Amino acid sequence: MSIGFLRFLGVLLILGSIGFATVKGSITGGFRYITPGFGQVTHVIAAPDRS
Amino acid sequence: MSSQPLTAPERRAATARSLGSTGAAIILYLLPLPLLGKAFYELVLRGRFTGFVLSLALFALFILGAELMRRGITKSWDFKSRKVALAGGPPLKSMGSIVIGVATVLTAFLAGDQALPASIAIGLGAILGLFLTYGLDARGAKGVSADSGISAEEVQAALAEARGRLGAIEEAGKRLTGSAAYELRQKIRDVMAAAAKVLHLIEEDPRDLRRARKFLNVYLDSAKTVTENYAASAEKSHSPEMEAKYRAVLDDLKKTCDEQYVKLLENDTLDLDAQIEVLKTRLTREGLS
Repeated sequence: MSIGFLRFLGVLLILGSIGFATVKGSITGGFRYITPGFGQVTHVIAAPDRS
Repeated sequence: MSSQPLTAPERRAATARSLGSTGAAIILYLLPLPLLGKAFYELVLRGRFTGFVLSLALFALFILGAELMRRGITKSWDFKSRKVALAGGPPLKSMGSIVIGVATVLTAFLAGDQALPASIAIGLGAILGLFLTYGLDARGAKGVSADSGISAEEVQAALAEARGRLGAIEEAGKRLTGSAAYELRQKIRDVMAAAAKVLHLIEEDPRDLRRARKFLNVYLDSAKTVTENYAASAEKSHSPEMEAKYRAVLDDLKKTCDEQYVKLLENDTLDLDAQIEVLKTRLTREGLS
């Protein structure tokens, strides 16, 4: 494997790992152990039809 | 590493290295930016101060790692570009990688809702990526052969001392005032450039160090003392006679420096030492040393 390819692989790994952690970390609201209900999936339940 | 830039090309190279390393590490400064968005969201939209502080702390940890990495890259480039170099000091790239790896694990686990094993795997991926992209820290010494009888530490120390003396000459030159200050500073720059050429020669072939030791110690020290003394006396009172003497000495210094460069190239040591002695006597006689 050439040095260039290894560097390219390195950049991909950086983008993938750090990028994933920071982007996922910022779109997930709150923090583990601190924010109540952190990480729990909430579903939007349709309101009953009142008509 | 002891390598303060002396001449304009050296300064340009140092600036280019600094800018280049920032460019190489720019991705590491950009990737944590979403955490600033999270900090804003936590404080302004949700009113959660702890979340705001934690987001900023994670962001700061990433930036600390990026800064360590940037300095490590500059250090490695400096090591590569020098003929004689000694890689000392802390392993900045490794430290930067570990800090960024830890920041990644914490972000993935605490903020990204990932399980601990997955977070650790993501952090290790980041460290591996940093290692593949930026390489390891330079270690050891280069440029001095084992049979030359001179160690890289010795060469580095001698060059650092010489650069220190040249730096002091430049600093003293900045204190010069009066109508001739610009011209004298230009002459000092010429002397510095000529002396820097000699230092480069020693860097190219460290065996020259033995022959040039007197030049580095006696000659540069005399030049430094002369400039400092003149700058100090010129601050108090301006004497045209002293100024003329100093100008002549600077011309002499430059000329001798050039000649010594050539003589070092020709390995003519005896003549060189005699010339330094003549210059030293002259400086003492004229009351400049």
